[in-house]
Amino acid sequence: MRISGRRLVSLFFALAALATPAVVAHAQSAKYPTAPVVTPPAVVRPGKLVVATNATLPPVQFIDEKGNLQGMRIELGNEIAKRLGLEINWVNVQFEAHIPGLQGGRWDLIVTGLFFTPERAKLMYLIPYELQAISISVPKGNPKKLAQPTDLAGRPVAVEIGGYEERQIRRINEEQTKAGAKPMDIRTFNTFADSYQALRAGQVEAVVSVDAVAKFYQDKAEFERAMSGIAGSPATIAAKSKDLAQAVLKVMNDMKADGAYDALFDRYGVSKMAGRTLELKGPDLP
Amino acid sequence: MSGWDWGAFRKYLFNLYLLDGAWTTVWLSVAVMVIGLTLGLGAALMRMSRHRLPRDLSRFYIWLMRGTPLLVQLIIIYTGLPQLGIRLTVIQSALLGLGLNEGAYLAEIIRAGILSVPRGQFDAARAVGMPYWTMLRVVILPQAARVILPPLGNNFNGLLKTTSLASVISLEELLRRSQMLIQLEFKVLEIFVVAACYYLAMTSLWGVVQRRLEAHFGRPYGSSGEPPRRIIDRTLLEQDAR
Amino acid sequence: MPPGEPAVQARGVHKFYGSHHVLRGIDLEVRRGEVIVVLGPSGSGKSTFLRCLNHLEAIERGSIRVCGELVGYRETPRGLVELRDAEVAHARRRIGMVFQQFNLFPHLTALGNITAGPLHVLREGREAAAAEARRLLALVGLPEKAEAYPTQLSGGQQQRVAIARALAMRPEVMLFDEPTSALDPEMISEVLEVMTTLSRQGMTMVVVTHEMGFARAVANRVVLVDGGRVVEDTAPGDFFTNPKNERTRAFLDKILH
Repeated sequence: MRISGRRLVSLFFALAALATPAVVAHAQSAKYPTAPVVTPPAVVRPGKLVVATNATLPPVQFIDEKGNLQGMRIELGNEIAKRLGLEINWVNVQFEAHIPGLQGGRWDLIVTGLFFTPERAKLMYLIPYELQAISISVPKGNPKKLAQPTDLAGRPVAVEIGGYEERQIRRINEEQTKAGAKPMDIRTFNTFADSYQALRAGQVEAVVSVDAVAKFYQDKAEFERAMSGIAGSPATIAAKSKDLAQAVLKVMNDMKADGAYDALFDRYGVSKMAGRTLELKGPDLP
Repeated sequence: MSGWDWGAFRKYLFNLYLLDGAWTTVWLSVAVMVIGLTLGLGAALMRMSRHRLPRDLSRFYIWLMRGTPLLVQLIIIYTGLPQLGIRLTVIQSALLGLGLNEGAYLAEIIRAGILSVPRGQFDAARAVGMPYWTMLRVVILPQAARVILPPLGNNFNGLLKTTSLASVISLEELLRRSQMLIQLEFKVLEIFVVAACYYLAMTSLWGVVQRRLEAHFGRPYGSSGEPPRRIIDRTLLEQDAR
Repeated sequence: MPPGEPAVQARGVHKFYGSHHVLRGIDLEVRRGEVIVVLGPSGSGKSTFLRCLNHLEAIERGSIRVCGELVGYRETPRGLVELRDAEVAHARRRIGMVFQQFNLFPHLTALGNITAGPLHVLREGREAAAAEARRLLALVGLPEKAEAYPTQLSGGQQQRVAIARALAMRPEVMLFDEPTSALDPEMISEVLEVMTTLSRQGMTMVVVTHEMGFARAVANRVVLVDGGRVVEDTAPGDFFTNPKNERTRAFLDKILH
């Protein structure tokens, strides 16, 4: 029987329509595997990815009024787990517990904007993926007219305990006092929220935090971001197991390649790492 | 990360940064105890007053401070009061918050101690012409002290560790200093064990003080301090025989 | 105390414990140097009345005067107003009291007990107070027990120290609330001896007791209190041999058998 041209075209489209879900599904299953890509001992629990975060930093990691974890890094973590075929298990704890917990095998990854430092690279595997820098928040209107780090001399400033920000503000303080300035009164609090609360109460004159957070509070018209971009350093995802770190690195480079990385970062206005691919840093790597 | 690092432990055992934090813990605990005893004595006496106003005021204070978490009290004092125009420093806030809290608990301990003094003592003191405060000072409180000391010692022991809550308003006492050192040097277990040793030293020292105080107040009450006689006085036996 | 003034004058004293009317109008007068023994069945209110005399208990109606001064209250146009603690304490200096349970201060030595009042209330010097205390200890027959604690003394010894403690304040009137009721029999006489010596020295005493022998030998008057009222008030001779009141007879019948 001779098939007419029009029939042929309809048949083609019909077949294509039937095939498309299968094609799409196949493509999806390649991106989101159904079986775990990483197994113990690279992860602590089979089929799960246990990730520590400190959800007190809007807009990158926080808890909304309904009690749900939200933020750019939360979305990033969720995507990484999906691409590894693992079920994500978020653990929301105070920052100072993150590194000891990783060392002690309580979780697999730290996704909390952990700044890169050489000391940390000696202890665990780090994937720098985000550019972060330190900001100084002040009350709205900047009444004390603080414009640069030297203006902080002799003033009380609040910072979250144990983080990169604390290290940096102490370093800046040391440099300034060596040069003859009055020392800052650095007060350490358990979380950024406590630090901003102290600023609200007038107990400190500035809060040392990160760019994204300071901008968020400025956008909410609560506090002003007086300074930013200080001591910029990559923020990393940390893992204890080299196998897991390499798997995560691959997944993140995939995201870079298919545009998911750019889309996420642009949506939140967070600075990306330069370069086409990300690299791994760690104890046995240069 | 490997297991236990003896070298690190020894190094941190005499770390000045931590010792300074321990000192803060000690003097803060003592100061809070002094404040607490003063407030507690006042609240206890008011609680037992014949008049309604002091009684109700005291009950309100005790109810409020014992019924809310210390953490919340500290944060309200440090970051809440400034909204009413009262801005206290970290040390002032810690002393006030911990002191008020401790005073409420001590009030009940002291009240129990005073209640334990038999009514006849009050009668005898009054009969000899003592006015209220003299009666308390000379007759009642020295006797109440014996009953108050053990739970008071308990409280002080707890206070040495409870002061660590003040870290939530950025006070740098021993525990906070330990946390900060860990963030720099990552020797979690070794540093916390050193902190635990310091706390043990502090509480043990207090234990010695408490034993001495109890012995002093227990002296008039007879044989509890003396060891039993092994060798019977022969002359007593001879006297009985006659 | 002004001469001629009665040492104790109670008029129409009423007292309530809640709704229980325990004292129903007590009238009693005690002259200087008199020894009054108060008898009565338990629950009659005799101890309560004694405690009203130095305002250890409050009264609802009536008046009590010791050495001419109102005890515990002040007279105002609106009636009697209770005095403040400090004023009552001042009035109590003149009235010594000895308790059934001794109530010695256990954390002080015998000397400490006796000097507590003079030192802290009368503000005397340490040495003067101690010297006087030793004299009183000798008076009650316990000169060697100055440094002993109450827990180291027998009941009779404790009560004698308690008497010395009350005397240290140089009172005008001494009140005794069943001073020997808590003592073992062999120690009763040593305490009664001290009380007898005191009476011979002219002390005005109001004694609530069950010791009939003491009442017969030492009292100027014996008073029977029953149901919150004074039922009989006569010299001991008449009281024991020829009581006027039926209730007195009934009471004597019960005790003296």
